[in-house]
Amino acid sequence: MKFSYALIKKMVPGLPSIHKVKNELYLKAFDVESASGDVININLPPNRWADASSHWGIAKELAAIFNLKCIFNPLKGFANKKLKGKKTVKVEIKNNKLCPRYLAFSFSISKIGDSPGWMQNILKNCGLRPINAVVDIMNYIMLETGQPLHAFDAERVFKGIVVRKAKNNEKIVAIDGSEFNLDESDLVIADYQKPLAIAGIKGGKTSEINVNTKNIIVESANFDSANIYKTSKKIGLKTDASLRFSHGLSPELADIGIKRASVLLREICGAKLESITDIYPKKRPEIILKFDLEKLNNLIGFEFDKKTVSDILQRLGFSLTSPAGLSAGHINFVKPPSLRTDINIFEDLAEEVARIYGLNNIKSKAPIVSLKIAETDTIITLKEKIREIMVLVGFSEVYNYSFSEKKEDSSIEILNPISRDKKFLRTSLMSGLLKNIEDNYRFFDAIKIFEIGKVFEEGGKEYWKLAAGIYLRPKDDLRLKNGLWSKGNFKSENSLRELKGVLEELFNRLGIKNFYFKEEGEFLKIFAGQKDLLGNLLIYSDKLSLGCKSVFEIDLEKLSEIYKGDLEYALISPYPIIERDVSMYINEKLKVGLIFDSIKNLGILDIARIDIVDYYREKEDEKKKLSITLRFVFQSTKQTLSDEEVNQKISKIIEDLQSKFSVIIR
Amino acid sequence: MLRKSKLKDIFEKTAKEIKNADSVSVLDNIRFQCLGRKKGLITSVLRNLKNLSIKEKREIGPLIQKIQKELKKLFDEKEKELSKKTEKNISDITLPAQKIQAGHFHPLAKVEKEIKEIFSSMSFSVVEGPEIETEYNNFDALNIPPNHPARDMWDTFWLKPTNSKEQIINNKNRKLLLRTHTSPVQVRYMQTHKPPFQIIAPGRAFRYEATDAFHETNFYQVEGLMVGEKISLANLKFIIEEFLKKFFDDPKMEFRFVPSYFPFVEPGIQVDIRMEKLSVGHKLSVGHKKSDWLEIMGAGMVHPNVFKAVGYDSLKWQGFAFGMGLDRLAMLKYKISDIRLFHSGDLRFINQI
Repeated sequence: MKFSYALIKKMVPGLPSIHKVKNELYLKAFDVESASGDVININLPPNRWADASSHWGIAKELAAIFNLKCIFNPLKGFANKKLKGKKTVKVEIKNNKLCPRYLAFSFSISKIGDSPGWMQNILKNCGLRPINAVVDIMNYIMLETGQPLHAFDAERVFKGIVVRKAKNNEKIVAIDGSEFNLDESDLVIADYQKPLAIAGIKGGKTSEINVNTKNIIVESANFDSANIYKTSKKIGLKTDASLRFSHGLSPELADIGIKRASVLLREICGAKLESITDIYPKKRPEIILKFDLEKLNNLIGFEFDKKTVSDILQRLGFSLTSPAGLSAGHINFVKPPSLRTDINIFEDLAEEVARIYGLNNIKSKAPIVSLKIAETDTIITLKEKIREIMVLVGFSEVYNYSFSEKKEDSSIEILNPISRDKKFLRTSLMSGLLKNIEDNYRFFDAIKIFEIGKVFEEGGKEYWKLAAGIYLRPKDDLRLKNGLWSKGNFKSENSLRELKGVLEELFNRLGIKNFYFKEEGEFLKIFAGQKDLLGNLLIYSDKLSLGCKSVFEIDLEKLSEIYKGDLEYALISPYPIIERDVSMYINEKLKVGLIFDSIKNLGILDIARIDIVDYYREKEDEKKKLSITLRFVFQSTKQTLSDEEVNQKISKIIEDLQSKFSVIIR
Repeated sequence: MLRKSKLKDIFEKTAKEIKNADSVSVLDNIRFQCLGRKKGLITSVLRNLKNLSIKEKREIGPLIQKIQKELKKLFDEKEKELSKKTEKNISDITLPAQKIQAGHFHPLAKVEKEIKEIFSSMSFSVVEGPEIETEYNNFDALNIPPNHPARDMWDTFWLKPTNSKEQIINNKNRKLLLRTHTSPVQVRYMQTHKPPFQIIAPGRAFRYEATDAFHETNFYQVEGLMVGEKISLANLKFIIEEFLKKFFDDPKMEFRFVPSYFPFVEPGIQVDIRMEKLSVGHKLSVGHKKSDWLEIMGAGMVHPNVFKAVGYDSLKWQGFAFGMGLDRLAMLKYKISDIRLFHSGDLRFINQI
């Protein structure tokens, strides 16, 4: 909100330079966006519009900060003498909750000309356009005191003013010609024929004043803030008036504003006040707060003395009950100024004292508390651990948006998406990772990434997931044949095998022993613990980029249930290792996983490890066979194994594979 | 004196072999032949020494010692020479580095971890809350009234209601949204825990607004909350100062505490910092035209209405809360100029540090 420094300085003589004002205001009251020329631009917090969305309000604040006097008195020059002659304006309020106060003053005017130059300058500096003397005075009073006013052409108001709810579909044309469609939740100012204005927001065309207007009715009212806020939002119209009313103004301000207007109308337009109407059935209750110095010092952590505190409060216009000020430990009573609707509890007073005293003058102090061990939820520890392991095995961490373009059965839809491709909440991290891989194609031959993030499901459910993706591409230009890479070291399975290796390493380091994989359609399902499904692993070959990518996703909520974090080291066998390589042809449809399962089921002792060291397809004309080489590593923890023993074990395995899968040993 | 001449032969032959050796392994082999413990030529002579007369022993003993000493010297010299040669053959130490394929943490994860460590060292527990929140926890319980412009301080993503009965029962028919800040974790924690305590709650939050280099729809915050019988504003200042000095590793950091407004605290403050490493004209201070101070976080004393909303006795308990933008801290710390990089998945960015 823009303010004229010159006008403020007129209200507070002795005010320092605009830059000093800007700095002190920032340190003690409001966020000041800028100050240049005559204009100070202030970001008022929502709770201070009631008293400070005006030059007078800022002047009072600055007077308190600099310990100066604000000499502006808006009631000065208003003589409350008995008015005789014409009858008063009839005002009927249908809903007192939505309109706690309504003042209507009527004036006769001989001629409406232009407003004086000084007033036009202030209006312009504050971003308003001068129109004519009466309208300008209305606007000026709003800038000066904070009270929005509206002037009606009295001749065009039929019988009197009614403050009522709009009818459904009631239309009103605003001063600028735009039309608005209202309903029963909106408040209008009407006469006994037609709506005259959208209450607290904008005046209507029908009763607009012009240069020939001779009699005017000036409205100064108070409206329910929530109602004005809702209507303004609904019809998409924000005005200087609606903004002020939306934040909530004090009904006391309505009276001050209209009296000040009367003075200026008389001085500038020679207007004669004809009548006064003031409907204010339920006065706003006065707020009186208990004040306890000890409580203040406890809350702020500082030793304020009573003199400092009472001085600050008085400078801000608060009245204190005991003329001697505050005494330590004793409850005193403090009454805030009537326009300070933001002051409702003791803590509000504490803020006033602390900020005017200067938050930077309050020394920081270490808290004194009894020692307690800090705790962290399992899932938080687990996430941190997983993050470290993933980085350790060479994966880089990415963050993707929680949004998704795709709708799944269980997707949650966003009512107000920011864009079309962010209409839903993600149900999986996988598609994000695949996109990341594509985005990085151009720059890397190998991409290894992971994400730890939330996915969402219908009913407001959300789960932590870990997903990892890997993309590998041969460095030479290879051709894809029969779904397998046939040349060089690169094989399309590499990405899948490495990702499985990552999972094994991950589970290992987390101390999760009983995990296994199971093929199900295109997925490899990942299980652990009591047969809990943790997630899926998928492989994609990418003909376009001549590469191959795989992704997995596992559920961290389930993992955290089986995660114990217990790890132990095993004894290292002192006996030698014996290796045997077995090469064989297998049917191309045969899954290597079955071979491994079968060997495992034989229950042969002392097999330390089985590796697959070769896996390739013979040339096409040779019956489409796959050739594999398995390396068996034998080691006992009790003795040195003899060649004969190992040969027996190998024979047993070969016999089994021959009979079950008709493998041909090379 | 057969033995004497034999010894001489051995010496000369070996000396010649040493001279001609062209690798360390050849040299090792020669040494083994000559001085080996079991079958070495000199060793076997030594072994037979016991069969000789005292006179012979006196004569040959010193000779053997001399030969051994001499040979050892030759071996050592040759070995030195050979190994020098080998080293030279292997490396040109000015060759460029080979790029290591290593994993990298996301910068926000790094910053989050650091923050957690600093607060853990001050005995703060780490907690988390859901990203989908009820309107009540996100606003009402935090003293942010409905239909008031104060609520406009948070641009909100609303979720489409489903007809699921579960949702209606669980959430008391309250609207669901993506949390606009991590502050609802305060409400959740206090509803289930008794004071005194001190916690931080890091996590993702959402804001309905157009993105640019400094604004994102998905962003990260760290919420802090400390409640006790005598936790004061001066304590708040202490904790925040300690944290920021440590985080930016700048013991000389300057602080400025200015009044601010958040409905869930009273008094409400904003924390500005100034330090040499982030001097005037730093590009990251966009949206901040007031000198070289940087707005770093919002904070304040917990509003009694928040205590009341979670069922605490607001006359007995007092405490502070603070909230800061993790993205902003990361941008300042690592001199990142565009917030959108965080969600780009671009490894040219992530893999830098």
